[in-house]
Amino acid sequence: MKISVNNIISIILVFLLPISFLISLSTGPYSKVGFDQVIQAIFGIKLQSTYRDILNYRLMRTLAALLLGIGLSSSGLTLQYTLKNPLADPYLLGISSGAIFGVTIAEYFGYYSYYQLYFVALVGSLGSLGFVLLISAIFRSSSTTIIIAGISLSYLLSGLTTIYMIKLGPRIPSVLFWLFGSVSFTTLNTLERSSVLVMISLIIMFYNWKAINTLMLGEDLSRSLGVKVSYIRIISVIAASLSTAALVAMAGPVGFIGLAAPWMARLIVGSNFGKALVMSLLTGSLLAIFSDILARLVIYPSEAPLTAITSIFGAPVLIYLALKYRGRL
Amino acid sequence: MESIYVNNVSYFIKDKEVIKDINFSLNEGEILAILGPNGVGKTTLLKIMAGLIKPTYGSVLLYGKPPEESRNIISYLPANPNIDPYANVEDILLAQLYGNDKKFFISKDDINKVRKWYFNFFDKNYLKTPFSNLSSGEQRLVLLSGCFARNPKIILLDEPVAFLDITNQAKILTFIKDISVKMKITVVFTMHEIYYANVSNKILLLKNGQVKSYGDPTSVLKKEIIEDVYKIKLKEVSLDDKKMFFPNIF
Repeated sequence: MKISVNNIISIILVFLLPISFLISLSTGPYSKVGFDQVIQAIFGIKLQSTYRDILNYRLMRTLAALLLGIGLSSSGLTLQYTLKNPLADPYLLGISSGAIFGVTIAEYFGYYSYYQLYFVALVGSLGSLGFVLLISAIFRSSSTTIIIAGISLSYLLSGLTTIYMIKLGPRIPSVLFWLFGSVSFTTLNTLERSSVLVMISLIIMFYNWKAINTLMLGEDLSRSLGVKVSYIRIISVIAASLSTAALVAMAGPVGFIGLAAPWMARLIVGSNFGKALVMSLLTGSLLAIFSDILARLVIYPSEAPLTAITSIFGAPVLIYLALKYRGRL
Repeated sequence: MESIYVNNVSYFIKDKEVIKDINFSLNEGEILAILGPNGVGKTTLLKIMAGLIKPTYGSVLLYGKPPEESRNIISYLPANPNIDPYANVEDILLAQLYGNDKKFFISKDDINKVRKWYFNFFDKNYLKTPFSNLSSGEQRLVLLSGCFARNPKIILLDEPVAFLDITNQAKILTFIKDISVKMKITVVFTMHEIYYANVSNKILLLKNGQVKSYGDPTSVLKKEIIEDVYKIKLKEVSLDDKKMFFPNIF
């Protein structure tokens, strides 16, 4: 097999994943728990219980970041293919606006725990999805109709959200927290629930990869090959949105991963949907985990929102890649 | 053996008739050229044969089966496919194999097959080049090689030589003639170059969505018929036994 630069990049990325885990487990406030303790824990040496709790917490948020990376990048990639829009990201269809609207309204009418809000956000996201699907079903589901429906809904809900946010007055921070997006408030309960939904959506994407792949040929050609384009489009939108909804409910609307990670993957392995999907899982999780590590470091000992980091560090990476490979874009 | 049977096909959008009462049948290995002015229904007819739209009346049978059940034996090339400009040539060719490859993953065989057909038409290796970086003629050739790689029994081409220079036009048309004879592939194409329609065994000339004339090239390509269909005065030139028609513009 010929070893190309891209193969080398892929191999490096695979090795980076466990390294990112180690760094993530060693980083954070409580500097007493560092790399040494992580190694001890891996080799089964018993740590004192506070250390163990800290490591467990860090492991959980690392897993949450991993799930976030996997889910958002695969959803972004799938939407880019099925909606034939290179700038599609998982929030294009109003999924996050639905969640934020739900959470804001819930906060307005009463006090809820994070775990209760998780379900509120999930219902909000799925409500948005339902609306978009309904619109596209009534008015025939061209990709442009779906996008327009999604964007309009997004604006509508943001408008309403702002009004209720002002009404919240001094309680605004409880909602802002959601707006930012972070894995710091994720719990094992919500992580488990969300991972089930993300896995289901990944199975749908992988199972249909060849049909989704033909969408690069345009609708007519794709249909002539025997692909049921409308069906594939709807099922892909549902899969991507299910995954996104689960992640927004878990960690808020973490931005940029869903746009940048798919593009990083495509620049490395090309446009074959199957290959790009596998690679996007890797680029997405690395982007998310390293961003979460940085989120814990940049304004140490406090913590920056994950979205801020993914945007600040993801944007230059994407611009660099776009310029480096501009012949291929 | 009869490969294509088009029986009384009509297609209406609302109450407006796009094509009406089209009838013909082709045998295995025959070439049919569909001619007619812009907007006469050539593309619609081709799409009906490819199973992309259902005729309002009538039916199409490909080897005795409707087009929807014959995907694996058809290759169809639209006139203006909306191809992802970022995708590279090899990824596009592999995507075109869909349905022809039964495996879940891409196999070495698929890659070899696609490359073999690609190098049939290209000297240079553009396999890793993004589609949008190719000229429109090269893009056409890429998609055509993808059509052949599917190993079809029937090929439906919407303006296969549009955008191509004469070298590539000759290459494609000779190739079509070749495979129809050697591999018994039935080819149907639409075209605006009347002279090139001579490569076909049959010509279907449409006027206002209806069949104006159907038969072998010598019987269809007559000055008065062509003038009537295209509504323009023409000069006739004979080349060997083939006729060429030119509008009176000089």
